[in-house]
Amino acid sequence: MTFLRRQLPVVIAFVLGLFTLVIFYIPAAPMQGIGDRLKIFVTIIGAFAMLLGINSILGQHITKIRKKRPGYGYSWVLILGFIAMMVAWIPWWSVPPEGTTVYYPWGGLENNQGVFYWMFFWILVPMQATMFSILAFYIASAAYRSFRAKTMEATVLLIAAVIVMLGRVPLGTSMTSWLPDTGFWGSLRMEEMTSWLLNIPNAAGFRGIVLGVALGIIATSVRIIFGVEKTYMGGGD
Amino acid sequence: MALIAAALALASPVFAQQADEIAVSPLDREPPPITPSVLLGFEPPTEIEARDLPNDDGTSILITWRRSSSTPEDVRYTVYFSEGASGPYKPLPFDFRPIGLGENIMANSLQYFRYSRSHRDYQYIIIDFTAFDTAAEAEYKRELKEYTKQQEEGNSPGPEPVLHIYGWDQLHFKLGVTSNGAVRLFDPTLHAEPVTQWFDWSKFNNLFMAAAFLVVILFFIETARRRRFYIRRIAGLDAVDEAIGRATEMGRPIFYLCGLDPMTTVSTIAATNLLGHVARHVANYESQIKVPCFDPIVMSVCQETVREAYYEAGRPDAYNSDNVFFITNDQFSYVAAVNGMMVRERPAANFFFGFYYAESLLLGEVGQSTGAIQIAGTDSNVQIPFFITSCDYVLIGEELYAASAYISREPKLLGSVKASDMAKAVIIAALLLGLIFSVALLIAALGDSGNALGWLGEKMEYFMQLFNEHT
Amino acid sequence: MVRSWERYLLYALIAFAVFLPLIFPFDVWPNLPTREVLGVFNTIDNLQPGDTIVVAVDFDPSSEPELYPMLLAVLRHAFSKDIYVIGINLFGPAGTGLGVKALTDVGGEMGKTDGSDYVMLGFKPNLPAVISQLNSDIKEMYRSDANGRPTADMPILQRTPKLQGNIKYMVDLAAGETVRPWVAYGSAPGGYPMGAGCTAVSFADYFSFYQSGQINGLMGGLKAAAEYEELVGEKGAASAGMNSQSIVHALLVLFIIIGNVVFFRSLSLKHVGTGGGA
Repeated sequence: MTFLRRQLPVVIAFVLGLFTLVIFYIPAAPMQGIGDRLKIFVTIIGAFAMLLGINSILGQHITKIRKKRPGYGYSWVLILGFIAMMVAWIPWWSVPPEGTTVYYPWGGLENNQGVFYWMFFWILVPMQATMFSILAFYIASAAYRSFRAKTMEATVLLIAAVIVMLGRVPLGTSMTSWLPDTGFWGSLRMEEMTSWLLNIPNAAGFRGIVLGVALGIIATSVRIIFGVEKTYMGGGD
Repeated sequence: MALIAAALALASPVFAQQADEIAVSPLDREPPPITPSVLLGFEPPTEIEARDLPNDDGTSILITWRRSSSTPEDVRYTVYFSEGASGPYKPLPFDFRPIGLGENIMANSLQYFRYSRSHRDYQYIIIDFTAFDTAAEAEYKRELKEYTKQQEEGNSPGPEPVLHIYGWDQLHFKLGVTSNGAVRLFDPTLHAEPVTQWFDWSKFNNLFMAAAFLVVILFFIETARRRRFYIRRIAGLDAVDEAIGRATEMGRPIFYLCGLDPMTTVSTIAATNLLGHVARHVANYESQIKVPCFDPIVMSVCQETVREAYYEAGRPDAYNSDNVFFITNDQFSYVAAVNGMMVRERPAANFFFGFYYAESLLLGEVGQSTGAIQIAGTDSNVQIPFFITSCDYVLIGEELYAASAYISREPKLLGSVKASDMAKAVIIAALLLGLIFSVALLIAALGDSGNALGWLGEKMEYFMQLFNEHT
Repeated sequence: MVRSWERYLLYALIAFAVFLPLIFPFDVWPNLPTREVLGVFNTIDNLQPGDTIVVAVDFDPSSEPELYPMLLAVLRHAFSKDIYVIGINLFGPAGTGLGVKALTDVGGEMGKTDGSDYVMLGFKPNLPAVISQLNSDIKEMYRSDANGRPTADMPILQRTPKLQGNIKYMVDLAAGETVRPWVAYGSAPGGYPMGAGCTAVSFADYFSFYQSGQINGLMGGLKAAAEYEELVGEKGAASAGMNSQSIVHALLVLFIIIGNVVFFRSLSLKHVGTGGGA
């Protein structure tokens, strides 16, 4: 039993990890075919794992309803919404013959006259857009709170942020549109300064982080493949 | 004269193709009529060869030639084929776009050719033999459909269609030039058979670097037992204890998020590793931790991790599996749920580790407004600034991967962190060398644009090509 | 720390800054076109009446605010020059409806007919295979269009049976990772030039394609859409959006300045208080 819980996962990780690494260097079709199949396995496992997730969330909310914990009304909303979307999606229709248009009330996003499509576009999508829009307000409060010129670095950051914010909108670009297009004064135009800030120091910083992240990923992957790091299996070494 | 005679001696060197088989350049208007004499006068390419395409899965061959120095407009290279050396040579049965005089230069394709300045004068075409089989199948299907249709209509359908099978060992090719429907083919007859390669030599550099890095990592993991490795202070990780202590004093829960990526990404693995350590501290302090998950597999892993942590801390009874739960794998629905929980339950500490997308600021700001201490760690470059404005401590990029080593101080983990630092030092050295060489090349080129620093110039161009190839 | 009333005041000001320019549009600041947007505009502008272009509606409703105005502007430009448009969606089924709506609205406005002046082909998965097939035969891949009408007799597809050799330009309005496959399997082997539109956050990612010449124009975000509208001469949602964005950005700069003033004032008051007490 200990072998199944402790050693076998490490062996599987080692064998499959090394195998996937090795087939990157082998162009022969049989090896690439195996590699593609392994990737499909991951997708299939993920699909089955969704059942675990659904069990978790439904179980939680059903328990909340049963025990009438505060806010259990919203649990009813969740469960009813879940059932409604699932029932609306079930494809109780077949693809109409080519060249004909038939209305069926059920079916997924392919059926653009169905209930699922309607609920997706008129309920889910506006709610997602609303959540995304809240970012605008939070950026305002973050800007007000955190862009303080406490140190030299913070001041430089503040000035750069102001230049980029103005350079990305027509208000800002028209503030310096009177400057000539070329030459030293041309490089002081808002859009030129913005472009320089984004493409030179910003890009350099990003590339540095990306290099470090890439090396970190390799090191972590080696630790996992060779079984040095086992916390992801649940539990200690 | 010999060339003209050779051209005239070919079976049918000049004939019109179907208009839609010539791919004209996208913004061409109707070209002025060009007589075939422009093809006859075209300086033929030399060193025409065919060989197996290296580093592939055994389905393609390569035709290379040294291009002519004259560059008339509207003339392109094409390939004709035959199922036998003697001909007749026909256009390829699948869509083939003729190659322009400046395209497919060998010097620009490091996947198949070594870099050399002389390769700037050579061009290539790759012929994929599976395209013949696909074309044959498509033709067969089309004929079968027509045959069935004729049968249904009661007409005499003609002979039953048969799937034509191209013998790969019988295919012969000729390189030619085409312009406005006219074609001129060149000798020699080309024949090569594709061979499967079991090792991609164009990736040898990559393998060498990977193997070297692996050796370095394993070396440092081994020596870590005997030596103490220094790791610089990471403020965010030092603050984890402080955050858990604060939560315990205030009697409020801790929220731990593992990001929005599945278990296959390394940042999520790093986040779940760190969860184990955090959960052990939480169990020791007898505080409460909640882990809302975006992915069901991550949820299973986190449940196991937290349960084991409580067991190791000797508090198995305190573990509540309802505290590690799945919400949804829709981005903004997840964020809305987590934000609602933050506002209602007012956690004392929030940990955001893993990969995040646009919701990073939403999570950070809502947590900020509830007065929680917040520690974030992500390798998503774009979201780091948002976490920095809204969180108290941020682990940037690889600090997240080093977190597990930092907190546990386990020698083997510290050794691997040291190894990645060594690799970074090598990369920095290579960058500096490249910078020095580029500057030297630039200075030398000011004097003589043709052959600046000779051999060194060629090597630098090779490196430039490498980076252009793979961006 | 931001106090509650400060927070609500900030949110209220942002809300007004976004709403008011949309309700009361104005035209003060010109959206000067950038080189990258001009790449797409000039290519389409230089086409002749009767040419065909492909517009890939590779986005879904979550990227609609940035990419839909871009789509409308490109369609208006193409239809004004009597260029035929083949619409296609290879990103996800949710985007097809947007393509149908855009083509129907703009086409109807400019007197164009579905099936002969434009067509919207629906969604098909497996990008590389679909694009390669489209280069050689469109009708084989799409037996019917997004509305279920058969493509066999459509005049626009009789005129343009395949992409290779028949279309003059291709614009990919991408919310995800569709630009790379279109370049690799569509534009490069097919021999037609390509331009792209993307969300503002992806602009940096796709800029390398523009620099290497694989795409000859790149429109990034709502600003690019507004620039395109300015070039076409018909301002729409993007220009109105840019007005809001201009005012919001100016407000944010103001908030930063006020925040710093408040911060330094509180520092100096603390300093005076400590100095007085000592």
